[in-house]
Amino acid sequence: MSNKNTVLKHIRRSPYQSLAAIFITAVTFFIVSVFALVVLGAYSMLGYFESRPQVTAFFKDDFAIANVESMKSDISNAVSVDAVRYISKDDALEIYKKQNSDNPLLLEMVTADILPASLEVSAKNVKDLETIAGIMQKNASVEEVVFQKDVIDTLRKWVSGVRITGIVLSSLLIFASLTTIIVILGLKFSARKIEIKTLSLIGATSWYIRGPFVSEGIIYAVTGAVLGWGSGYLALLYLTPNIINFLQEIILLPVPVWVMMTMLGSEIALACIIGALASLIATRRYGQ
Amino acid sequence: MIVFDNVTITFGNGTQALSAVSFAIGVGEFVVVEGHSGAGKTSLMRAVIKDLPISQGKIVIEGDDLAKISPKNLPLLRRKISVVFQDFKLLMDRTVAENIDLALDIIGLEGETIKKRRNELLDLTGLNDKEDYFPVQLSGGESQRVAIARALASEPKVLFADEPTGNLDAKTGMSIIKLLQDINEAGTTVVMATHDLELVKDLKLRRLRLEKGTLVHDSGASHHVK
Repeated sequence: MSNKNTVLKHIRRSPYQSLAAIFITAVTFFIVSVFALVVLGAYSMLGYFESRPQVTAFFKDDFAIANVESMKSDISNAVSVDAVRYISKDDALEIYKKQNSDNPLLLEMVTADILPASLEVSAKNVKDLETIAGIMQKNASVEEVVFQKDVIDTLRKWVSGVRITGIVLSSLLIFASLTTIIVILGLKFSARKIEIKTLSLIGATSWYIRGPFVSEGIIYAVTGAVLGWGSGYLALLYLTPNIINFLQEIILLPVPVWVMMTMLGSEIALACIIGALASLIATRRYGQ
Repeated sequence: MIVFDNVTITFGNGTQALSAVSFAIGVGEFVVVEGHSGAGKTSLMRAVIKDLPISQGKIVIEGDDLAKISPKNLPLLRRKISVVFQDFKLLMDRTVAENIDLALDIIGLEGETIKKRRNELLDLTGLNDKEDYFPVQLSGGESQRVAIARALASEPKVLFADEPTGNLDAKTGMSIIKLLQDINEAGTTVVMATHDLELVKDLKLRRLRLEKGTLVHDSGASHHVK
């Protein structure tokens, strides 16, 4: 009986144990896929913001337009500027109306008077944002300065948090998968001790005996990885319209196929390591 | 070919299974190891395939000290020296053919070669019509023949048979001994352990008699060693 047949026989004989091993690895790889996609998306968002370094100064109601012009020249003299855009109160209202066109109640309550005029300055380099913000803040007409460094810093912290959470959670789940496969294969190995002893006595090598168990462990882990990745991909496809709507002009989706395939390949490779490691530990531990 | 030099086997509880046993078996011999239950026959066989560690002495097989055979090379030893176990040790969930195929697969044969060799072994042991039977469907004698066929799969130089007639009636027991003699005549050294002194009394074979772990009689002594 070939190694392949032996493995399939082992799996068929204890379907619930096999299902348990596949289920826990599928959950693990689903979580790994989700966190990988979230972190990849967050890095893309960071890239988006970093490629568009922008500072916005909101003016007080009694500001003078001459101040805006002097601020523009101060900034241009200090750093390399990509674009400067003055947004008057009326322009701000137009933007507001556009953004809230589907909510008439909000539109009724707002007039140009309550919206501040602003100056948006895009720098060529993200490092210049602080200099620009400093010049703006020194101007007496400016009430508030918002610049993307804050957004980027916040996003960086958030990405770092998500990444750490993902790594910790994934590590715990990988450990759970590993131990589940170890226990399941260990039980199977113990249950076949007489057969294994016989094989050993008639001249089977250690690898001949352990090989089918190692293959079995890899099959469990790889099946779980493919199912977990597939579930993650389906969830992403299902949520794509909502995510696009939420992110508006930040284009992250659809995720390129090559990214998903690379993720699948990496997860299969990781699954092979988990399956092989678990089965080697199980056969060594329970084979003694 | 096989040399036992003052071999002693002591179990953890202090019981001595073998006590300073020395003998030599030459190529092509048919040797009967006789003795009552507990005499040490099975321990002797287990020691030869390194399934039981020896406490003192030395076992040498084809010039190689058994103690120096590494775990990695143990399978090679067990293919060279096959054992037919008292309890057959057949895999109950596999047919006769599959039990034999397993041993052939272990030594690395494949496909048609396995089939051809299996048919030869079934012919030799007279089991041609039983290849699709499971062990539970076989008689004691037939199970013993399957165990012999499986043990011969690796074309061993030595065949140890532990109580091959143990649970068989006299007629079936004699047919198994006849089979072992045929195997011996084909060139394989055969060592048969038995407690059934009556069954082997008329056979002109070299006899080693064990009593309580001690070798008390060797009918052939050293002149048999080639």
